Amino acid sequence: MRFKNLLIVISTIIVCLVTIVSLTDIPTFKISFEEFERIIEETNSLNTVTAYYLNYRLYDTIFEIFVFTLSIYGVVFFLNSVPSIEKHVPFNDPVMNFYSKFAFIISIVAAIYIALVGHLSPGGGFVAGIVAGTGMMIVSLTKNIDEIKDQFKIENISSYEKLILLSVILLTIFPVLIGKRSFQNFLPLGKTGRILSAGFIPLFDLLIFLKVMFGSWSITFYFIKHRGVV
Amino acid sequence: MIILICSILITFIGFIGTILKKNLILKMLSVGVMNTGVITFFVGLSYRSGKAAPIIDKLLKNQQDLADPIPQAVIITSIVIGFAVLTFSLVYIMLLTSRRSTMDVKRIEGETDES
Repeated sequence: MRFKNLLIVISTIIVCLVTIVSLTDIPTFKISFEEFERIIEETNSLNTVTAYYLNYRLYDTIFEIFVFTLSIYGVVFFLNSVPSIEKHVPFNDPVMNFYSKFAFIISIVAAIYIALVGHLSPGGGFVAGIVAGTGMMIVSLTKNIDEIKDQFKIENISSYEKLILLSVILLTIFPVLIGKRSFQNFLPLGKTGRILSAGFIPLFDLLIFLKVMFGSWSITFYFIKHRGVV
Repeated sequence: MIILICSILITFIGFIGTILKKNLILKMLSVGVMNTGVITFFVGLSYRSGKAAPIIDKLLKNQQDLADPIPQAVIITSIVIGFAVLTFSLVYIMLLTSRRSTMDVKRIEGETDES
């Protein structure tokens, strides 16, 4: 048993060293500023990373959203067959009760801002969704499970998620109906630097934000419901 | 360059943990470490071509030393996906643990060999 482990470690170290040595062959290439200007001219998005993953590589991003949705359905489905705890005890700390509401509001506002300016500055739908999901998790640590169910209408969230997925698919195939290619940016590009510019990139950012927010929050809610706070 | 070497080291540390650890939760933690290493590798790859973030400021004409946006755009979706898939595997481990009442891989598979 010892010998086998030693062999695994030694062979992994050898492969690791070979990979590090082979790094010297990676070429360094500069991207010229004209390339960036061409990207901005075509997509009108100042953040070129967003221009890539929501315009040129949109097909890839759509299927990443599918994978995310499927894994959340898996979490909810399998957690329902795990035995849940009998008595749910939330955090009962006055400081935390007070400040969790502030943290919730601040994180929701920050998330909406980050999602809306995803094509102008650092940010985007995925990051904003995680920020909002974290705020929702903080506020649901201090409340009773029935109170959370009443306030957030937990039974509607899966139907919202289905609606968002459907609208993402419809947005990608809608250009076919008006005589353009599918996955093409069909909205007007607008003026560079405005929030309402760059075609459908802010729309997709907003949809991905809602998707990731509901997804990450339903994950944390079902974990709190079935496993307790601590 | 130092970022790439460190990311490869992180990835292989996670790989060793995935193989050698017997506890299922620690195995999944190692998979998370591997995920982090791969993300760091892509970020370091785009850091090689320039030091500044690839966000164009319209006021500054002809910015120099901008990073390559393509590796970042490839890896940005995988962060959230990695979180979701890790949670899913954690739920599956919970299901397995509640049926077999152990987290040891050897005991779940019913092996007792000591070779």
